[in-house]
Amino acid sequence: MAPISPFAILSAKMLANFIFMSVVEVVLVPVFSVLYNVSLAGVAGRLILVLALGTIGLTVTGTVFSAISSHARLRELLLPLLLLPILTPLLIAAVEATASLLVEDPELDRTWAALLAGFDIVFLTASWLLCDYLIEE
Amino acid sequence: MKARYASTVFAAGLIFFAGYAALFIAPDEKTMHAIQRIFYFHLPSWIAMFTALSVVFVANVAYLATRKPKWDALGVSGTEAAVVCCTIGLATGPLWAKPVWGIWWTWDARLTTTFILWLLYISYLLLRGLLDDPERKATFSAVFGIFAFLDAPLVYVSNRLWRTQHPQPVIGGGSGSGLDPGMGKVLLLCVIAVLGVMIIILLDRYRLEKLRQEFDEVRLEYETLNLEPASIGKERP
Repeated sequence: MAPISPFAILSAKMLANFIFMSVVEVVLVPVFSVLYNVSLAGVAGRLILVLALGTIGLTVTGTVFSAISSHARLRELLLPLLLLPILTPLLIAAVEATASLLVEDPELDRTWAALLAGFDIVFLTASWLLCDYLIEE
Repeated sequence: MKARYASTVFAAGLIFFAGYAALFIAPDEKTMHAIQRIFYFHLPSWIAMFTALSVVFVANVAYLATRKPKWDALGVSGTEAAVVCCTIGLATGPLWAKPVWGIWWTWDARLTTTFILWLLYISYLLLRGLLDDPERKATFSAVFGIFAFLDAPLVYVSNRLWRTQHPQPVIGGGSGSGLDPGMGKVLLLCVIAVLGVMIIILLDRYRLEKLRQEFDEVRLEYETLNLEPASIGKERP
C-alpha cells in the first residue's frame, strides 16, 4: 500500500496514541494529586518513569489489538475483551509500582518496575516481528 | 478409520479405569481423605491444558510461516481442547478448595493466573467468531494466539509476586515434597488417560475444522460463479 515498512506505520500509530495518553496524564495526575492530597514533589521523576513504562505497554498492546479487531464485527466491544486479559500483568505491576511511590518514605519497587519494562520489551518486540501480518494490503 | 474408533474406545476405557483407580485403588490421604482424590483429575487437566497450549503456539507460528490452512485448523482445535481442560481444572479446583480451605475461590496467585489464561483463550475463540474473511481470520487469530502465549508467563510472574494461597508444587518442589508411590502410580495413569482423551478430542476437532474449510472453499467457488447454493444441480441461467 505505502512504500514504507509496516512497522513504521504501526510505530507511528503507537507514538500518536502514546502522545494522546501522555497529554491526558499531564492533566489528570496534578488533579489527582490535589484531590487526594498526595504530594508528588519528591517522587515526580520516578512517577514519570512508571507512568511512561505503563503508557508504553498500554499503547503497544492497544495499537496492535485495535489493528486486529478493526476488521471484526462488533469491534468496539471486542477490543476491551481482547485487551483486558492481556493487560492484567501490566495493570497489576503499574498499580503496585505507583503505590510504592505514594507511601511515606517512597522507594520505587524495582521488581514491579522491571516487570513493567519487561512487558514493554516483550510486546514491542512481538509487534515488530508480527507487524507484517497485521498491516497488509 | 478403524484406528480412530479403536483409539477412542481405548481412551474411553482408560479414563473409566483411571476414575476407578483414583477412587478405589489410590491410598487414602492423611488429612484430607476422600476429598483429596479429586487431585487425580485436577492436576492431569492442567498438564493436558499446557500440552494443548504448546500445540496451539506451534500451530500459530507455523501458520504465519507457511500460510497453510491446516495449521490454522490445528490452532483452533488446540485452543478449544485447552479451554475444555482449563474449564475442568477451574471446576475441580473450587470443589476441592471449599472443604479444605473453606472457600470456593480466592484471588490468589495461581487462581487469578489461570482465570486470566482462560479469559485469554476464550477471547481468542471469540475473535475467530467475529472475523469473516477466512484468511484474515487465520492470520489475526494466529497473531493473537502468539500474544496470548507470550502473556501467560508474565501473568504468572506478576501473580506470583502478588500473593499466594494455592500450595507450592507438591511434586519436584524441593526437599520434603513428593508423593506416596501408590499415589504416584495412580497419578501417572490419570495423566496418561486425560492426555489421551484431550488428544482424541483435539484430533477429532481438527478433522471437523478441515472439513469446514473444504466446505467453505466449495461454497466460495459457487459464489464466485454467481450460483446460488439452492440452484446447484439445476440449469445455469
